[in-house]
Amino acid sequence: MARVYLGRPSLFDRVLNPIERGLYWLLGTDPRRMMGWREYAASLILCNVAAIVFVYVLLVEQGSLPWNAWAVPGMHWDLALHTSSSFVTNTDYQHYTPESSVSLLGSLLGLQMLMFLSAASGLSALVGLVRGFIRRDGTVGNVWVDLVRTFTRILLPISLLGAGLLALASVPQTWHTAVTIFPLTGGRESVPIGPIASWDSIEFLGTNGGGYFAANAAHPFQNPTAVTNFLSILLMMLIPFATPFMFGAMVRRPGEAWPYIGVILTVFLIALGLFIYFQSANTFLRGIPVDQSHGYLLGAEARFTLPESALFNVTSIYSNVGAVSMSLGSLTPGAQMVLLWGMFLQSTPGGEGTGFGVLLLNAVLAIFVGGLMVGRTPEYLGKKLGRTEVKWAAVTLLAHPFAIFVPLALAYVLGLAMPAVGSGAQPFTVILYEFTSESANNGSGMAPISDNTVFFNVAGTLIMLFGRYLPIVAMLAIGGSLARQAPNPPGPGTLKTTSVTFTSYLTVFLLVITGLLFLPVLALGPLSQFGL
Amino acid sequence: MTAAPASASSPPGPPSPTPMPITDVVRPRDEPMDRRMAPEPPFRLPSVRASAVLVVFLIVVGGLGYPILVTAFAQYVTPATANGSLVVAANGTVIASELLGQNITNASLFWLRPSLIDYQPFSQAGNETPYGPTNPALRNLTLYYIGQYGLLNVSVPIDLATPSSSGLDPAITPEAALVQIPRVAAHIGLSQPLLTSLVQAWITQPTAGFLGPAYVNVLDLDRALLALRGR
Repeated sequence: MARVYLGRPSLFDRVLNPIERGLYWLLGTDPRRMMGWREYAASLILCNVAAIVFVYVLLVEQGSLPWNAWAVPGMHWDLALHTSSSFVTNTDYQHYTPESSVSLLGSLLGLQMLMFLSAASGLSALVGLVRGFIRRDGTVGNVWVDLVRTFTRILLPISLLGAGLLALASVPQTWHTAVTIFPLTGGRESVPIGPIASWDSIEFLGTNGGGYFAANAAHPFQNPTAVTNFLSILLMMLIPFATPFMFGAMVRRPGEAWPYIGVILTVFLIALGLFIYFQSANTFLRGIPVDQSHGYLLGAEARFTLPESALFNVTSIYSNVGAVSMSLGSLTPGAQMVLLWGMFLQSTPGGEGTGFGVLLLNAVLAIFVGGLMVGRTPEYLGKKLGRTEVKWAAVTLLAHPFAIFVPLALAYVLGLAMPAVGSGAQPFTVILYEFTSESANNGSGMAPISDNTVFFNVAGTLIMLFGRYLPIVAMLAIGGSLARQAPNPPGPGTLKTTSVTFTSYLTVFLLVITGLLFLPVLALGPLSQFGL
Repeated sequence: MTAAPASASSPPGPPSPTPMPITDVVRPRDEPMDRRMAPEPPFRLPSVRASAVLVVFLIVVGGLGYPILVTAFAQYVTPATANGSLVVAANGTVIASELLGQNITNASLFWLRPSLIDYQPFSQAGNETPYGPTNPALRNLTLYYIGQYGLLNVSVPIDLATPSSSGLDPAITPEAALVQIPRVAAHIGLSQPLLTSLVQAWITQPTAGFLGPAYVNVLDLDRALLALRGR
């Protein structure tokens, strides 16, 4: 990956270089021209907006367009707005049932295209930030080159490979959209089907998470066997876990990757362990003669073991994919809390590019605070962390709870929280989950909630756009500011950021800050359901 | 290059953290190193043409070319699974997909897990269970399913007392198949040991020894049972 962004030679060059040159000519850009962070960010956002407009029109008009075998009507404006914003921001929150709401044309040309674009945008934004550490002329790169190369050299080849493997492992892949089955017990059923393997592959690789079916990765066509489950998990982990190494390679200090890998793995493994522990039985069912020796299987598929289901869902939520193979609304309160926590952190490892970006911003803050505590000038990789950097990092950190709590409060104050049903603290948890998922650009949803309303669609759209582009702008602003500095040679007072001490410090910093921001709402939601 | 003309063209764009042009006169107080800082690079308005061309490129290659290529590959290399692992009966009708469960209520066959959508694969209704983990209605629902399966006075494998996430899960645990044997045996007059050995023959073991649980694909088991009875 680092080779791609540093423009080093690679195996694909012979084929891809001419294609990319032609494309740059069509784009009207000079690939050698470097941009400042403002132009980079503005271009990235403009390109995303162009995609939103296209997909919005496509979804609203799909009723009168071809490739619509199920005669799906056009979407309402609010749902189409929510859906196109959702897929372009790497959220993929779905307020609709895909089987009955999107035509094949809409899924492929609209949503699947956005899944590539959003993944490429996230990675490009991160690369802009990382270049701040290695450049001194104030530029952060050429956004068109980064987007194109991410697509042609990372996303497309790996998606093709992943889709091929998934197809071999019996995920359907056909241009038909229905098969007719005459079941054993009589009758006749039309079963929706389609090019699912190719959809799955980019859904997971791009940390997108929008399902071809409403049941997402629980649906036997999307995730038929334990083998496809395993492949999907690998695809989801691949880029988020590779990103720290890319960072290390790009700043030419490979050791710098390890503290982040350490932080991510520590948090991730604790979360996985807790999830399995909480899902091993639902104590609320005590007294009923059920055998929970295979774990609490309500809302889980019996063709996966509990650790497999747990690994899938924890990977998915913690890397902000948002695909699910269980019904999140049925999980035990402890397991729900583990997933919420992952979205509060949104950086262990987090979504494509932005996850690690947020982790870097947290590191910036941690180094700044640490520097203040020991009375040294805070600097990282030879670059001083000044007012600009810390301001943007702090704003990003605070924006996340802001984007969750304000709509949460609004929903209750305006009495619009009614769509969530259930008993006790459950409706609160469900709505909290909805907004958290949108702000973290995660995209998993918790039932039961009827959220295809104007309020939830519009609020969701705003939350997703805010939760996506504010961190991206902040990352690029910091990158741009760092890129203008000449590096300082390391001195005896320089903080060693590859040490175990720094790793543990960053882990604790992350958990404490997140805890301070979010524990109160957890207490109102899942925590209050403990011991029932 | 001097900084002043560059910053003159800087808005519109995202808000600037340092609204002032960096010159020798105005200098942020806590950045004493700014003498050594490079000037802000010139800002050009983002290109609408580039955005549009890139989106079109992604539509053609990512939205269309990519799935076509994968479909061609899958249809050529593994057509059976690419079309949904369909099961075709002797008379040529498609009776099932290996991957999807069906709503079997016949007392002489093994049953699948409860489904909130009755195994209708094209269900408009959401298939997520409306019951949260500590909802009193959850206890009633569980007891209701236990009654429906006629599994009183035994410890019920939880998969038979709870719906799956997809509502289409074709699998049950081996215990859930074994616990149904007394009912099936009573209805078709086959001995319990015979059925036990049949169930045991249809337990799918973990792939490569570690992927997946041991489970029973109920449709496979029922088709084997029907074949055994000569139907």
